Amino acid sequence: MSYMKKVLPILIIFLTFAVITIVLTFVPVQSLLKQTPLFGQIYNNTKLTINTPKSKAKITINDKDYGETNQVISNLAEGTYTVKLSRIVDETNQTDFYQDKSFIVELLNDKEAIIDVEIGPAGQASGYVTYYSVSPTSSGLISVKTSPEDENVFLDNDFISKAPFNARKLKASNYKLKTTAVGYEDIEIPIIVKDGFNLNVHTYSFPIPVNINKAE
Amino acid sequence: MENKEFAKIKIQTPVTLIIHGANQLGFALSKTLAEQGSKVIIVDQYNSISKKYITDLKKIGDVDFIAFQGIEQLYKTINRIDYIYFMQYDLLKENNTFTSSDFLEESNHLNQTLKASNKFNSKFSLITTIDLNRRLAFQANTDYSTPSPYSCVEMQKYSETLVAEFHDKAKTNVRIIRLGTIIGKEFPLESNTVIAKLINDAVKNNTLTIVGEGLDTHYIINIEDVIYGILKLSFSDKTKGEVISLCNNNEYTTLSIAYKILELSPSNTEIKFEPDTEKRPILQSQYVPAPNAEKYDWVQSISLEKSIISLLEDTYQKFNKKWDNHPDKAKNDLKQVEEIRKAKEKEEYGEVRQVEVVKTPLGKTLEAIVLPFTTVIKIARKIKLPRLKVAIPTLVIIALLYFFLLGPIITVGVSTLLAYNEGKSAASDIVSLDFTQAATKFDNISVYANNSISSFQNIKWFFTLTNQAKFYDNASQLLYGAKYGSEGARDTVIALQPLASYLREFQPAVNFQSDLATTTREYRQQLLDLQNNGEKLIKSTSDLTFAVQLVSTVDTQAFPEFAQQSIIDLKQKTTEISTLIEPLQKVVIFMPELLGVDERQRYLVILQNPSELRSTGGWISSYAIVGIEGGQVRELAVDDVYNAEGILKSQGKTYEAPKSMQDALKLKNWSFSLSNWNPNFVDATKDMEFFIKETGKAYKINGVISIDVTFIQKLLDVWGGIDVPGEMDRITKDNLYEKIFQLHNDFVPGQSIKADFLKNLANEVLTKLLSSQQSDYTKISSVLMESLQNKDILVYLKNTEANKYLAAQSWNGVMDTTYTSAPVNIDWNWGGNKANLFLKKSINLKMDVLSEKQIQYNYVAAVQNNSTSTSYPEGDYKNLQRVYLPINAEVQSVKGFDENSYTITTEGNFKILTGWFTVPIKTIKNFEISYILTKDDALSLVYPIQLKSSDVVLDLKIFKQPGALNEKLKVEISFPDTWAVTKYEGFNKVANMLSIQADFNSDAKYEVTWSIK
Repeated sequence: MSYMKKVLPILIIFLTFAVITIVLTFVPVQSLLKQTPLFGQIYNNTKLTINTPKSKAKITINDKDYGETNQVISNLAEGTYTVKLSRIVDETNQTDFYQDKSFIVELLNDKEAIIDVEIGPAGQASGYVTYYSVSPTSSGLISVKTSPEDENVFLDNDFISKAPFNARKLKASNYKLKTTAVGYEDIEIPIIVKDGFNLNVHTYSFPIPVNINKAE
Repeated sequence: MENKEFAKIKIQTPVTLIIHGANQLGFALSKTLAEQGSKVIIVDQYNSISKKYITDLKKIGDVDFIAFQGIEQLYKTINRIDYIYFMQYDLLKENNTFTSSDFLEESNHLNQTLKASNKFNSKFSLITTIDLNRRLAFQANTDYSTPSPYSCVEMQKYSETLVAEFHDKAKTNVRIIRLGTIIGKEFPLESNTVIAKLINDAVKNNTLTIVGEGLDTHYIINIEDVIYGILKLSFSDKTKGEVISLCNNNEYTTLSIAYKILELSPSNTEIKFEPDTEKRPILQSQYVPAPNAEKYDWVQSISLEKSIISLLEDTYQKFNKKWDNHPDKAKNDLKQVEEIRKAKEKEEYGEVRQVEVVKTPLGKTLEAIVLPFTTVIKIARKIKLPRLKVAIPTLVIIALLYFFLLGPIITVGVSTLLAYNEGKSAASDIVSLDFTQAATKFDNISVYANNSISSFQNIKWFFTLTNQAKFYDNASQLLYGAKYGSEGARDTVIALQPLASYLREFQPAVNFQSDLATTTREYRQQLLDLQNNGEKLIKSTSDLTFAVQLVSTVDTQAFPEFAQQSIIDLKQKTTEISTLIEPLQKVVIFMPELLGVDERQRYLVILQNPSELRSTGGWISSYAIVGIEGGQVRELAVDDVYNAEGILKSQGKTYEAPKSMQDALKLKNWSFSLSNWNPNFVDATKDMEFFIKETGKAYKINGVISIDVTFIQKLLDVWGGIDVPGEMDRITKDNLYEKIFQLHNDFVPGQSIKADFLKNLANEVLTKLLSSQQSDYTKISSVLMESLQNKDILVYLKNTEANKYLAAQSWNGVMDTTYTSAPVNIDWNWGGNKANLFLKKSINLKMDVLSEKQIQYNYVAAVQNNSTSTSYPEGDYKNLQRVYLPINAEVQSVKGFDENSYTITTEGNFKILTGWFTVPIKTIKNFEISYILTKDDALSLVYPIQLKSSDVVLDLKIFKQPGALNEKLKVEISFPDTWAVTKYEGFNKVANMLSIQADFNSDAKYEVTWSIK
């Protein structure tokens, strides 16, 4: 009995910690806190820049209206968001000429995600989307996708690879990324590669209009 | 004990002196102290009763016994006394009055002892009674009686006063402890006390007699509480100079004690009140006892009820009587009754019913919230301050260790286990197309992975300290792989939910046997949802690819040996998953359109028979039109190719064959069955579509799918055959050709026998495919993939994205300039038989790489015709052979064409050698061609060798003719001595020669790299 008396408190303390650990494992405390207004302001330091340079578009993020482009949206909680852009057209224009375009971005604290695209007709888009995701490696990583696929990717004018490619190691620095494909406009954007993060880049290129007179 | 022995007492052993200790109370106190390791010295006048205690105590521990005569000597010789208990309780109880000499002697002993206490700085406790103090108080306020000058009351008063004086004047460490009436097991009460009389009445009579109204009060304490209380109060510094009442905190009236006895001993039926003839005053209310010992943290542990039970037991024993209504017996009786009740219930209900305490949800929640706090409070109450000083730093250390070592290890372990189980469960959900459940499970895995990552980061210090940073980095990479993998998988299954719903619910509206729609159901919404999820799928695939990249680059060697195999398995699994998911993502993008989300899509399906080999797979024997709209099959028709040709003939339509065909086959008219002349399936489909449009069966075709008999044979092999309506025998892989040959022999244009069989077969195959059990999915998809790879199925779709995807997989049968790295051999069986079933072909391609700009080719095809007769389906292999070479190929020699006659033409970037290559029955015939290929930058040809910095890379793609059976391929590559081959996967290498041999079932693709530094 006396042995039990000595062991019992240690057992209770151990079990208490174990219970707390398990509770913390199953209850997403941090994400719950992020939802609360007070803690949300402290926790959430994300930045989402949405631009449509030559036109206006209505912004919907996870089915919630966020007004019109161009905008910088801060203080969203860390996470993955679906951003829908609906090009605003004159009433005289055909409303179904431009289709809505959705982009999925991941927001991290102290990191900026950028959607800089022009919505074109027939589901086309021109521009780029960049966002960071956490990486376990200490170096910087970059993943590039292009629409259309198989575009050539250049970094500071050096050919790197054909797109798409994933998690390519890169020294943390500022670069100039360029994607090219025959029959499509080039896209050239500045990027910042950071240690411990994977920079996701998706470029969208418009097809170069065929000059009928010239072709003949 | 000799005096000198007192000097030998160890310094760590406490020395306790008990004056008047040779009695039951003193014995109990001495016993406890001796058991705790104290040196006990008892001073008393000894008699026959005390002898018994002396014997027992000597057995227990270090106890000495000294008579009062030796007390003075003791104080002179002993070096140290830590505690002194002056036990007057029994002395005062036993002696109502004292003689003057006894009084003086006692007061002298007390005086000497107090001086000794002062000398040794001992803690002194005077043990007296509450009763006598109450009597003293009463005497002071009333004239009830005149006290005797040497009464017990006066003795207690004197003793307490003397002790108080020593405290006040000499600052001696003293306390006065007044005891209540001690009761308890084997602690007999004085027979003249009220409680003793009640107990005796209870045992001996049925009536409890109370003199007066029974409102006089008693201060009671159990003997076990007394010992604990005396020790606690003596040890405490707070009690210095205090007078304390050591008794139960409640005072009990005689009446309440009587009722308690009645309750415990039900054989006593009544309480009888007798008049108080002595008219004694009630000793109550006016008396205020000294503060109770509870003030000094003493806690009563024995209840009044338990004490009275002890008394009753002793008294029953004393009078040799049996206590029939003993409470413990009553408890046992109740237990027996309960057992009988349960047994009866078992008889009635078959099982024992459990009585459960039901709590409301609110109650449960509140209890769950409050429980940890109440537990902590309880523990905190038990922990004493000195212990707390040790406990707090210990707790902090435990907490730190827990959060930075144990906790993370537990979290990672538990999370990994849970994730593994969830993963297995999710996989089975996917197989059963329950994507909603699968998504939830992948989400859980993602939570576990994120928790593991945070926890694992907390123990990074441990790996750094133990020089295990490499393990940490790789394990961390693995955890991130799990995070992105689970998130990717979750988003993938969410994005594919509409597809799963479509596959689960799909039921075709029409079948090959009937044009009448059986359902109006469409699946347009699922297809629209799938289309809208395209972006999500791109993101999820990206996550999955990232996860695969992380896992595949993990250094297996960084892990302990026992875990390495698991890591290798994990890498393999993730790669497999990735190869499945990536194509799926691409397919899903165009799938809704192919399934007619916007408008009806029509597909031409042609059945080619490779036993009579033609350019794109074989003799076109039948065709079908399939119309799909809103995900539903709206048109389905199968027909014989001769019927289609008959329709055109009846309309008087004739078509001129392509020039190359006219020249080669010497025929002028062209027909649907010969529409696969062009070996490039993509181009051939245009000709097939042309004929279909001409028949009026369809005005627009969105794609052409070619399937050959080999594919159907493979399906039949999986199913072990299939029953076709109208057929006596089960159609199997082995008898399918037999059946087709029979139909072919019997066929007369205009008849529908052949078409009916094919309709029924197609219908059964489709029905079987759609109603396949989940266990067959793997086998069927494996057959499908193999058939696409081996070109038993060719698919050309007009949807640009879809065709791009099919081309990348080499599934669309395109034969373009990417195949100029080796000769392309196209056979055309023009013998009107099925000789291809009896052929064996060995191809030997020798490439002598002369330089990075020039290659010498030697191509030899040995064909063996195993036909034993010229009767259908066997016979001579009358083959029009076309060999496609790059347009700039410099042909050096050609051997093997019949009569060595052939033509050379050009088409696009190809140079085509056409001639008859007949292989009679039971013979082997060789065909050989040699040529040199030189790189010509002016031509838009794909030259197989590329120079990449200091490396030379050969990209070899060899086109396999669709439908060609039983072919083997051997490739030999020789290269300059100065080159060092660095990459030659699959090849054997001997000196500067590489060779590889394999079955030629699908396009062969090889890559070889040399270093030319």
